[in-house]
Amino acid sequence: MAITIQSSRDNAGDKTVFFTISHGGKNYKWCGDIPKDADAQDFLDAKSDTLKAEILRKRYPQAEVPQLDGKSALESFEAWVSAGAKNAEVKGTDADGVEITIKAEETIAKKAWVDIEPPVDQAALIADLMKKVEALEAK
Amino acid sequence: MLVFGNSIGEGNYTRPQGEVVWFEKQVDSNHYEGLTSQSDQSMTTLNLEADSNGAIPKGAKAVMVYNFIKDSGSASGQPYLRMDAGSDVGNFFVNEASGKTNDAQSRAGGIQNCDSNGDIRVQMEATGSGTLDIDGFEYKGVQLR
Repeated sequence: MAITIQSSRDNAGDKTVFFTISHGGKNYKWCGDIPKDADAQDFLDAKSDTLKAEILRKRYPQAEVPQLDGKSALESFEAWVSAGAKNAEVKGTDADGVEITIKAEETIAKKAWVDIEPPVDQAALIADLMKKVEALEAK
Repeated sequence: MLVFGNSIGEGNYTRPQGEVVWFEKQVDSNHYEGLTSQSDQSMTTLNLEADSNGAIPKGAKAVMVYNFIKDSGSASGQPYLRMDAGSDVGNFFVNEASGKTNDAQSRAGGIQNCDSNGDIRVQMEATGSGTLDIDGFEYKGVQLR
């Protein structure tokens, strides 16, 4: 299974799910908001390709990815990465109609990924510690 | 010769350059107002004339904006909404929700200069997938060229 759910947290209007998703041989710990009444595993599995494309967007924030004919957004992004992660040269014409380069081809640097860990339930931790302290005191 | 305006024109009047017009009623963004469950969006051009139903004219110099956003991971992440007038000038208006309690609203109002077409670009950064909500995105006024 490409997506493994760690935990979830209820918000006012939805819920945040913390999960691990595999892509390109790497595991990413991330999170996402989903409707309160949705089954988290089914919802995220159905959204798997979108999540992977969003992870690539996080890693290449300045990417200008052309949508390839007959390919999904994820496939287009993966093709852009495989081709060297380069934003294409932009050409235009000057006032005399002569073709000029407006923007040179640019290689986009890959940003480091920062895992998002599920939040620590501090109240539960404190309650657990208190129980241990009380057990020690009772001895 | 008597001239009432700051230059000679028909009726001795020309519109002052750089005039700021504050709207009598806020104008909601067609695209961004109430846009919930958003993920990252790279800088994307926004046609202000279309987005404001013509309230902001083509070729505007700057717009006065107000927006409020929230993100379910703002306590530990760095969500924001920011704008620029093109890649060469960098961003100017920024509404950053970092450090706030999760899902707490971050509000910001200010001015954003436009590009030569009178448009702006908008970028969104969410902490997770679908975690950013733009609860409000309003135009309050415009500066003409």
